[in-house]
Amino acid sequence: MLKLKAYIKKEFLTLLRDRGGLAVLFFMPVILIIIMSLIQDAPFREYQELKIPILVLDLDKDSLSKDIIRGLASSKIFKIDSNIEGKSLTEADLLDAVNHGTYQLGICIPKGSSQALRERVSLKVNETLSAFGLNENKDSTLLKKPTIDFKVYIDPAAKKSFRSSVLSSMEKFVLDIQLKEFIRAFGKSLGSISPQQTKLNFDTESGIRFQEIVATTNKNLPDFTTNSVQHNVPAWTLFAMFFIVIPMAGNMIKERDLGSEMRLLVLPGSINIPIFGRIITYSLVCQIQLWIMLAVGIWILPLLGLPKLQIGQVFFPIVLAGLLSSLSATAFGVMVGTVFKTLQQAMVFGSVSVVILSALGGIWIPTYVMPESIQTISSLSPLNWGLESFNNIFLRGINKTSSLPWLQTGCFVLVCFGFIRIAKRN
Amino acid sequence: MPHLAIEISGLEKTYPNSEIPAVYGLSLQIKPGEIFGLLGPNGAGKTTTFSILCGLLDFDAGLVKVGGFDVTKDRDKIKEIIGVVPQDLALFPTLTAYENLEFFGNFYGLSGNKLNKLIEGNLEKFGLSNAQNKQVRTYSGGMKRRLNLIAGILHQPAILFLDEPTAAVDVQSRSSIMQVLKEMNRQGTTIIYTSHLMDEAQHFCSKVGIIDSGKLVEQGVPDELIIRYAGSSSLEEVFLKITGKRLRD
Repeated sequence: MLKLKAYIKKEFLTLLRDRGGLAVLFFMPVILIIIMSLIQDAPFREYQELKIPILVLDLDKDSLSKDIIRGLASSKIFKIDSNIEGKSLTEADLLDAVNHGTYQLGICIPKGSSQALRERVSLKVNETLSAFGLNENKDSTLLKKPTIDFKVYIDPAAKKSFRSSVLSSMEKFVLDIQLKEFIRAFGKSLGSISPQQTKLNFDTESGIRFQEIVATTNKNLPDFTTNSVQHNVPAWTLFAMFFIVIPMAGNMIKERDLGSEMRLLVLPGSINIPIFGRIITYSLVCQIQLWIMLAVGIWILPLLGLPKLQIGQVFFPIVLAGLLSSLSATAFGVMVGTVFKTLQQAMVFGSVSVVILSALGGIWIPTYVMPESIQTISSLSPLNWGLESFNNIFLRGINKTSSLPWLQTGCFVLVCFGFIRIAKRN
Repeated sequence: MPHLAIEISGLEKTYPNSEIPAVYGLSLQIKPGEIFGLLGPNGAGKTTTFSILCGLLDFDAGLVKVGGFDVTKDRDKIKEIIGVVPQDLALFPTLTAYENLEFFGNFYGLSGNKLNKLIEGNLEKFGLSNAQNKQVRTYSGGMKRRLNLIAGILHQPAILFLDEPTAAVDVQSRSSIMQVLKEMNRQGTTIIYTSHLMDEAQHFCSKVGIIDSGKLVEQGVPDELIIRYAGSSSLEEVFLKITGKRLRD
């Protein structure tokens, strides 16, 4: 025990005096969490929560265009601009502004749109009335309905999901206006047929509503779904925990190069003391990392206008989840430090492998949007189990320790130990 | 202590991917209390023999006993009675001298006041007391070499392996190191020593063994060897007569 304590003390002192290593372990992840949470805040929010600036060129200047602009402006999604810096707008200006990314969307409402809509609706009303034998002017139903071609200019850099979300919102607006116009015209036509029934008041509101219920059985959890902070804090904490591979493997190789490892081998005691000493020391460091990052999520990120990290009421499962992830990370670190012979090899392999494991593990994008084949591979990443554990505890309220990835962690650590043994034998 | 501190018989070792054996049929006996110099040109098999004696390397054939313990069976017992001072400065550079020695002492089961006294006594003996709380990376080459030696002798081993303990140190440091080693030997420590410094070996060792191409080619008391090889006035001349002047890799 004295030997293990001595080793842990030595590792702690070495780490404490390695400023670069400390920066990698603590300072960089804090910066990473803050930046990633800020950057991903918008994509994580509903589009309805955002005000997307739209440049609108109104060549119609009639009731339809005014309704559309009023509708768009009154919605919570769009912020309408009809000029750039007070200058009147042309279609070429609009194209240029969107092309340069000043606006992600530009809409050109063509001249005569209102008239075309009125004609279109009128023909549709006549067609409907004819179907009921209420229209004497049947020839009008044979006329071609005019189409209205709105031009929607889209920034080439805009994401497909953004485009489809915004376009579907706009289509909903236009359909709503079209429906109201139809009902107004239909009522007017009916009124002319039956003077007693001039005021028709159709309800255009949908009778079907969607009630959102967060699927959790834990009543202690606040009613919310994930957000940028809720994803990024545990995700990048795990990333930082696995980045411990770099200082760990680096110290191991430096000691080997200096000959200290050789001296350790002639000291009494199990040759596994250095392995377990390192794993214990760096697992403790991972726990410190975890709670610092959680503290950043709870107290620092809200100061930057981001949501507060919710971690629930029970801390023990968080400690255990962190411990399992740190065991995987530190065993991986010892493996890299043992298998690779030079610092350069270990640094390159260590950093690239952590990036790959984190990409597969859903640190950058959720695994459910990945192709099925990649999802299968991602289930082999310890960062995936780690992230799922934190999501279970923080979001789903699953606090049972039996739901933690004991088996996966055990298998991963055993595989690492297998490689360590082979490398040591060689 | 058994009647032999070191016993090597018919030792053979060939490294994987090599056809030439590093050590071939080496036999050697070192009595307790001796200072035995294991000498040889580069690539002669000194380091291989040294590593096998310290339990760092497996071998193909032969018998090796250290302090009466078989190295293949009793490695843990051997580790308790030996001290190793490697040629590399096997220290932790970001720890202080005190912290380094405390670490190594703990591994030999030393702690508390006993360890503290041993550390402070040795640091005093080697003139490192004033620098004991400085990180080793700030030390000069000579200071590191002295600390490297203390780390190997702190637990007062019965058998001490020294691999070029005075390489690249100034005269003062060398004198200090040799003085302490002779004192340890007087108190009963068996020393197995390798060096390329023949003059140092001649005056320090009670017996030397010259090894070349993995075989022990000569052994004896330095002064006796000088007499035996007529025309030689120093161990270096004896060494050159035995191993030749061909440059080695």
